[in-house]
Amino acid sequence: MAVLTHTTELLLKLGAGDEAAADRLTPLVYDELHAVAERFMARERSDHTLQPTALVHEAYLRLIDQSRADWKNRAQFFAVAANIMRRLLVDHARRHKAIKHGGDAQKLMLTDSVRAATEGDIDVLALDEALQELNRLNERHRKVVELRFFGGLTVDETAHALGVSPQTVRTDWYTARAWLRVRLSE
Amino acid sequence: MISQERYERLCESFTATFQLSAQERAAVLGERCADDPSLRDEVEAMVAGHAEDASPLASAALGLDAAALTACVGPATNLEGKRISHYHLKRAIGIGGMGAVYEAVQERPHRTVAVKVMNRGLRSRSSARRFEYESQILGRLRHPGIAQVFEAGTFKDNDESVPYFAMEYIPGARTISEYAKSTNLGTRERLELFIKVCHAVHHGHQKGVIHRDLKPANILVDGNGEPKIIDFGVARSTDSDMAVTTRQTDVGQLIGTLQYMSPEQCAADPHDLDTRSDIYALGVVLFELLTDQLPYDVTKSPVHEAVQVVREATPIRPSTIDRTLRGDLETITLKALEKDRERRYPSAVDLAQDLRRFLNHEPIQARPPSAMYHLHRFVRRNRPMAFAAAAIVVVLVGGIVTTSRQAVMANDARELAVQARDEEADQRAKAETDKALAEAVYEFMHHMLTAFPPGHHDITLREVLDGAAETIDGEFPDQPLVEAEVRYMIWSMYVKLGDYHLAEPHAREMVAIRERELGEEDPQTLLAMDRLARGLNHQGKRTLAERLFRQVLDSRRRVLGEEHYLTVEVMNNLGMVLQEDGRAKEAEPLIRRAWEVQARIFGDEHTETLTSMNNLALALTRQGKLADAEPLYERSLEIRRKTVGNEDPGTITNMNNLAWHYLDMDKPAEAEPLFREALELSRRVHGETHPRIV
Repeated sequence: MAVLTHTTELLLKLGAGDEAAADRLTPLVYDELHAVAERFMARERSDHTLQPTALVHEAYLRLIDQSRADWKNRAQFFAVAANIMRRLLVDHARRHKAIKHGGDAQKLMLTDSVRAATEGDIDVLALDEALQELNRLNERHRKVVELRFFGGLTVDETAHALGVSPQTVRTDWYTARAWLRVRLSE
Repeated sequence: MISQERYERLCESFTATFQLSAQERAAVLGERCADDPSLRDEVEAMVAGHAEDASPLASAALGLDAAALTACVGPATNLEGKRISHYHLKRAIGIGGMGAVYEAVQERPHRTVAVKVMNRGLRSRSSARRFEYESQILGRLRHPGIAQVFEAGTFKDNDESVPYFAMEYIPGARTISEYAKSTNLGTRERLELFIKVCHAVHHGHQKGVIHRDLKPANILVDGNGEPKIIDFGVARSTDSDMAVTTRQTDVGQLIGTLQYMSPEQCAADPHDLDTRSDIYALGVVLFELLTDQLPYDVTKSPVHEAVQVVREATPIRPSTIDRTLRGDLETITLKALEKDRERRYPSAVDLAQDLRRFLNHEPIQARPPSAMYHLHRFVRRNRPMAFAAAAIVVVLVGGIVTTSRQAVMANDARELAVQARDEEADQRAKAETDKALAEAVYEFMHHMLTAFPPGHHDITLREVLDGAAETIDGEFPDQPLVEAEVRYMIWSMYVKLGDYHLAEPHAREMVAIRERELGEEDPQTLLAMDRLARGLNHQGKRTLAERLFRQVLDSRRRVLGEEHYLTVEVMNNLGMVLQEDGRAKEAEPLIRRAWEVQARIFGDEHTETLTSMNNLALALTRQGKLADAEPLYERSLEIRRKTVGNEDPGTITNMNNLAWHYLDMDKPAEAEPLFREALELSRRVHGETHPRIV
């Protein structure tokens, strides 16, 4: 199938160090995430809690020829998808904000830590802003947060994606998350 | 704004201390941050933030409720209550891979319409032009079975030009498969409905539009039970911007649609499609309507595996799901599902016409080329299996005659094939001879069938058969076994037609040749003798038949053993001869023995078992043991109706027998409806001149 081959090729190129492949892969993954989300919408109860990672996994299965991709490719794909997921959420929040003429930004229910730190919902736009700042301070920290938070990757998967040890990921994650909490509660 | 340097210091201090006790941490931080107390405070804040949440890292990921997530990632906007052109969108009625459909009210003329808004805008001038062109064509589709497209247009959303279609609104619409299930439609009604769908698809094809996404979700049935195809050609008209939308239509659509996509659709670029892809999709829908299942189960497979299955796997045979689909319906369905589009029906109307023929009990067109093809493939793949190949030729030729008779023939062929395989296993040494035999037989039959000029559509079995019967003398001077094989086919075809006296000389020749060539006790010789005896018995030449059957029985007992299925088969046949000769008491133990062994080997519901069961009942009846016979008749008829259907000759015989039995029992009220049914079915199946009717 043409698309499957195409996306797989791009991912393999990315794996071989062709950074430009990521740019061409992004719109494909973007479309697929849309399509997957539509299906979720059709079949899930609306009060069901989902992790974006479910979407990312499904998109991966649909876009990549598993027989040709290895775990490194998979991690790279997830890195791309996690980044897209973040952008999708931010775009949506922005759109919503515009519609409400500057009213409350879209609040999203979050599980776990960030909700605890912010006593409830998180402001996606504020988080995005903080992540942009984090990217300037330490790019790897930003990636770790993005992969884990938006892509739903485990510590080991994140380590694969970034080519570092799981221990490094763990430390990065604790540190960056703690910093983000402080930053967001300001 | 925090500097990189400061962030680094924060991180170092945090990492060094967050796992320490408060006291230890205070000590370390006091030392590290002696020059900068605010740094110490920030690290303490981070540690507090970290400690606040001790939940495991597994739950580190963002979680959203489904609605929030899909709102973010799914279709951009819900347009309920909005107005597009002169349509007021009232409520969303469906979300598809490509867009959302709304129930809407049109201003002039005032009417309810369905408005489909595509997810993606048209991103280039050329794609906008293409959309306009395609939508004009869609507007020209006018058919009661196609939901009419009233208008196609675009509206501005942010900076994008978003296409929409205003279409006929179908009140009370259900998908065709939901409709068939919920109204409990029988096979005939399902086929009638499906034929209408075929005609609607054909209309679109004639107007040059390929649907490209036929599936039950796009084939609706309205409140009056009439089918309406929606989204005709929509996939293509919005598919022009290749950079954007092929991905969407191909990958996005793939999701629920893969199972209805033709192998070439799965494989290649979208430009390579033609109307025969729709024929394939119709085949899948037909399969689903007949069996409530899909020909491949790929729901749980990743896309690339699913694609492979659609491209390569052989579909499930409908008859393995529902035995009553054996024969023509299966043939028709599988022809529509051929991997190679050249082998499918060339048009939707051809498919419809074959289904119509099936419904009218006329010969269908699908079988002859297909059977020839299978035979060809079969001979190529299984060269040594001469006998099975020959048996399939019987089916092939039988296919030209009538629909219902094929079930019988196919059945015989299958059994013959089984026998052939068994025998073949015993005779591997003869493989080379057998291969030559298969090919020679095939050549001869092929020649017989293709000797007619092209365009000569109404060739009857009779013409083919008489031609073969005339030609065979002297045709195989150096290949006596081939001659025997062909004579066997001729014999069995005449028997199927009820012409036993024309069959007889061929059986005699066959026995003579094999005795001479293979010996008296060779399985093939015994088989030939058995067939000759059957024919003789039908002609009332019972003394001769009995003698032959006894000879076969003795040989098989010796060679194959008492409990071999061929041994008990001839036991049963001998029993029948005796019975018809007025010696039911002698017949009873033979038939009973056959029945018991068959029930054990084949199971209770096998045709062979049922035949013997019925014969046993007859033997009991002839001896006046009516009460013992009754449950046997009733049970075998019940099983036959269920397994092979009413039109099977065995079922009809069984009906007849039970009816006579009721008369014997002085129950005319129960006998009469059965007689009527048997006669009616018999006319339909055999034609008026078959001796069984006369």
